Amino acid sequence: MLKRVIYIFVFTVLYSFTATADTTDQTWMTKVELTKTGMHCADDRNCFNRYHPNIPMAANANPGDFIILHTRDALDTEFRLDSTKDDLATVDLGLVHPMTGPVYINGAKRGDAIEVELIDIAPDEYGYTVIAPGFGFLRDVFPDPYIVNWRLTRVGAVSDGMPGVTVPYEAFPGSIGVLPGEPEIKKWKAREADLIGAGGVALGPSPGGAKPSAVCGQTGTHKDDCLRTIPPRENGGNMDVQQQQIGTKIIFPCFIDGCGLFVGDVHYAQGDGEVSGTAIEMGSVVTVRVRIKYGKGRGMDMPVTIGNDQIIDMEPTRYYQTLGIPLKGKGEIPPSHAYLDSGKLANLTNVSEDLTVSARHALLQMIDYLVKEHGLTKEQAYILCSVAVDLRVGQVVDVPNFIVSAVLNMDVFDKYRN
Amino acid sequence: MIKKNNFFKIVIFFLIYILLSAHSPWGQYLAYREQHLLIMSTREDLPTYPYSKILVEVLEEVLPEASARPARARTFKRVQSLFSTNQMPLVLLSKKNAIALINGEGPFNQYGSADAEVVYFFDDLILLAQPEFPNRFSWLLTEAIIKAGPKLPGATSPLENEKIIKIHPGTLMFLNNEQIPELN
Repeated sequence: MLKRVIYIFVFTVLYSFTATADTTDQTWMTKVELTKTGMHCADDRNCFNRYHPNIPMAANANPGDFIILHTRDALDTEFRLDSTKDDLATVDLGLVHPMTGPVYINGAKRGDAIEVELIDIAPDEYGYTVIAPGFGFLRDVFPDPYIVNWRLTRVGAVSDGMPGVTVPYEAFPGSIGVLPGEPEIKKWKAREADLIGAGGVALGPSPGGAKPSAVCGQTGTHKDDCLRTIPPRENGGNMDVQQQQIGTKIIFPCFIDGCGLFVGDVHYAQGDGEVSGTAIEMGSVVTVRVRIKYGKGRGMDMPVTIGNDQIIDMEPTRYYQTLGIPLKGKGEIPPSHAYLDSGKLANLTNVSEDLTVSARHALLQMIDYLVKEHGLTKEQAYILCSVAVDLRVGQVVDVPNFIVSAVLNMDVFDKYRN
Repeated sequence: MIKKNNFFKIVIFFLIYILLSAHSPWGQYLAYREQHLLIMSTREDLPTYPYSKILVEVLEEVLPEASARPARARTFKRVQSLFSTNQMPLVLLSKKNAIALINGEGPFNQYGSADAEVVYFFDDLILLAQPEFPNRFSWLLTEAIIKAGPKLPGATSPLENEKIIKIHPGTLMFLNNEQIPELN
């Protein structure tokens, strides 16, 4: 009997040992997690959509902590897999872009820099790419709304709206940055107001839909000084630079004590250019780790990115490339140049040293190619360019015709892959 | 068919109206809302989206210059915010939800009330307009709906319905055989 009891005891101890020997039990990370609450940024204390130094910090983190940020899609929308172009007209643009944060980095001061290492990005299961009327690089050519809904896994993005195409997973934060200080707000607001005065495309502070409403909303304490998140600036923000992949490090100058790190607008994949105005937009869970570079922020003009082989991993293994030079139709003024009000420009068919017009030329040829050779509609082709075609500068010396090329990763077509 | 000249004017006036009244700050995006007469519906009020598509199809035929388009909001919350801020001055809702929007009750009780006036009834559905929606536009829209006749199932004049919601003055002017008003 005693023997039997001992056997049972030993067996039980061994069994419980194997049950607890799982690696899950071993942890070493110190985590700071900012989760989402509610359907929209307006319902979420960890979310904001304007820039101002008085925006309250959502959390504190030490250098080396793993900061986990649950992010919302760029438009803070209610799109889903069966959304159509009719849903696009009801987007509230006052809600762009919902950012998760800001996070106070303990020990960071104005004048320091922080190095933000991108550890991981876990995608939602759904993403979308849209042609937003009046927005995007070819907004004059594509005036009507269009949407492609994507099913996402880390293997690839597929869509009923883009048959035969799988877009590889190359996620990055469309927006990542730090809060500006008072002097930056003043300076940036003034220069953008000058541009608006000259007819340029820029947005002044706009309290409609602003979060946090107590600071930036209609009755907010700083409603006239809260900057919109659409342009990237010296604090980073909406940079939309696809090379900022998992494993890279981005260095930002700090403009306030604690720096105020935020992330949002995460892209599942995007071509260089994001030409339709959107990438594959999604919510996600982003993990980053921060190191302070004391006193290094003062000499910085803009954030910088440091990477290893991430840029090589993103290169296509087969491609089709169109070449653009600054040619345009007689009388045509691209929307990007309209504010210059130049009669001289209208009459020219060959513009001098103009990368924007070259890019347009290359892109229009790529859309033609996708329509003629791959049977896509013009809208599908434009969307595919936005998520999988890279606009690249060829040269900026052979006057007057600087070259921009458009490079399509042919591996997006299922017919070319296993 | 309504005189083309009239509708050329409508498009111009509507453009100005939206520019003056729009709440959304993203100026570029407004281009679409400037160019089209958007009929808002919502997923949460099931019959509204299918009927808005019928209405748009008919308006495309009877009133092509208005360039009508459906615009579907996912939630009542979005309907309230877009309608009450004039970002979208027309919305199609079922009767009980239309009343709820005006009173800020039912599905709208968390988001507040919104002033709204009737343009037309379609059985249990009501096409509502912002009170600031110009009388001239409402007059022309009413004329178009009546001209469409049986192509719009269940269309009934607000004069023939119980007076649960105030009739838009432009609609009333048309129904009373008054001249088309100037832009107010």
